[in-house]
Amino acid sequence: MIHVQNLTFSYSKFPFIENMNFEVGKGEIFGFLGPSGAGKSTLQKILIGLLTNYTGSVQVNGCETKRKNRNFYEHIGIDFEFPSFYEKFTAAENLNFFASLYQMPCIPTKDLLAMVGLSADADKKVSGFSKGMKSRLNFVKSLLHRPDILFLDEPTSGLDPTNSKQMKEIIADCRDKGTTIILTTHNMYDATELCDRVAFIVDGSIKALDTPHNLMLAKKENILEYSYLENGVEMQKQTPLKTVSEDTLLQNLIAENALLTIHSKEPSLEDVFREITGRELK
Amino acid sequence: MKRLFNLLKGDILQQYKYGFYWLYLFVTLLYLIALYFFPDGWKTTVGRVIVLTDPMLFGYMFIGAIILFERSEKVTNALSVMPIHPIEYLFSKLISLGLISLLSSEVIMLGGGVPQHCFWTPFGILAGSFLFTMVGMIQACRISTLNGFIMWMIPTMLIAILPPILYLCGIDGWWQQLMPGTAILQIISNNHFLWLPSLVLSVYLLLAFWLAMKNIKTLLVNE
Repeated sequence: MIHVQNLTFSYSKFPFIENMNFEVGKGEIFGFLGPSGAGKSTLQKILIGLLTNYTGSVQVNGCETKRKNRNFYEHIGIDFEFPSFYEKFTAAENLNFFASLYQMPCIPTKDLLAMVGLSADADKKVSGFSKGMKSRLNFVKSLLHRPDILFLDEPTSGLDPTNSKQMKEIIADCRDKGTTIILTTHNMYDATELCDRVAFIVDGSIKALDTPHNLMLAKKENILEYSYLENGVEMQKQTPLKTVSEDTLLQNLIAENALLTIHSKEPSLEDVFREITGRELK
Repeated sequence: MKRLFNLLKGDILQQYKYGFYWLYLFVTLLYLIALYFFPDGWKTTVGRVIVLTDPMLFGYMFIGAIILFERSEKVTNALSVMPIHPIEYLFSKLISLGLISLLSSEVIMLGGGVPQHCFWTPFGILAGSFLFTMVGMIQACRISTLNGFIMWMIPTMLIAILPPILYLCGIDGWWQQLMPGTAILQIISNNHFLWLPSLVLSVYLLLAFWLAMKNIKTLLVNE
């Protein structure tokens, strides 16, 4: 569905994105993970055809984005990070208006609102919505024309855990129905939970690209962390799981029942990101 | 055509919800009352000045407000990734504001007893509304605050209104013939085709159309 070859883009005389290559298949959730200013939003703008002065090739749904026409948007849906609505329209009026701009039949408004638990708020003005309600409404706006490719920018931002979970279930459901999803985020939990593959983006280039599972397995070992008292002071120590039998201090503490805490610590995607790129996800 | 029609419905709903039509109604009534108190000999001149300024002023001001609202509410963001063409966006705004300007002007002229031609007067009103709506659109696309827009409004309105007012007062220089306001005033006040005002207005309309399209394309990409 998406083929990017030798993509280079610049806002000035220095390249901002340089020689980027990747492909995304149908029905895949592909995540762009990176800190603010890494080039994620720029890359998304190129993929959705808003920035066209790039070199290389960017094919989305069989169309070179710099040569797209307006029909291109009949097949892709975009959920920007910040909600975009007529504040004095009701939720239903907003969705009906945006749906009327597509040629293809759209999902009925009441079904969309029910999907994100906003049925009771259909006739309320959007100006009276909370941040989370606006985020949910913005999300279903991107789904209303049943797009083949869905671009989501921080989709769970500002949502409580229940709504965040519900949103992730809808995203997974879209993937199961064959929608290709591009997720732009700096939230490692979302990326780990949702993405089939992730690309780490820093300074306009992809530093790593694989499944979250493979990345976590390949780059950092699991460790065991424990604490104990020494001369009345709490001490902490870490030991790799694969050499835990060689840790004599741990064996002694176990024998003396002197451990305060003990737990295994698996690397998160954020740990792996930090290790590979030397940067924080924020 | 269907999408333009749906955009138009959206614009009319937006203008209604944001209270623009109530403002039109209020100002139209105010103008009618003012006209009532003018002596009969003045009614035609004053009525034409009102009709000249009404579509220009409202088209210009309202499109500024509409674009600034759409930008602050990030609606232009949403529209930039929908299958609408910039020309549909422009036409929808021109038609919605043009029709309400025409309606308001006709109420003032018919209610105030101001004589008009059945074709040239509505034609001039619509052309004036289109021109100044596009001028407002060009400026609102490039300015991000209401204060900034108001700063541009003062010189724009002076350039638009002063030459035709001077023309009505009997001061008639060659340069006034080249001003859009004078061209509109001449068209709405006459009963036949006038080639120079029509040519002047056409040039301004084409220039404004070109600039408006250029700015809308930028607006719908860069927001």
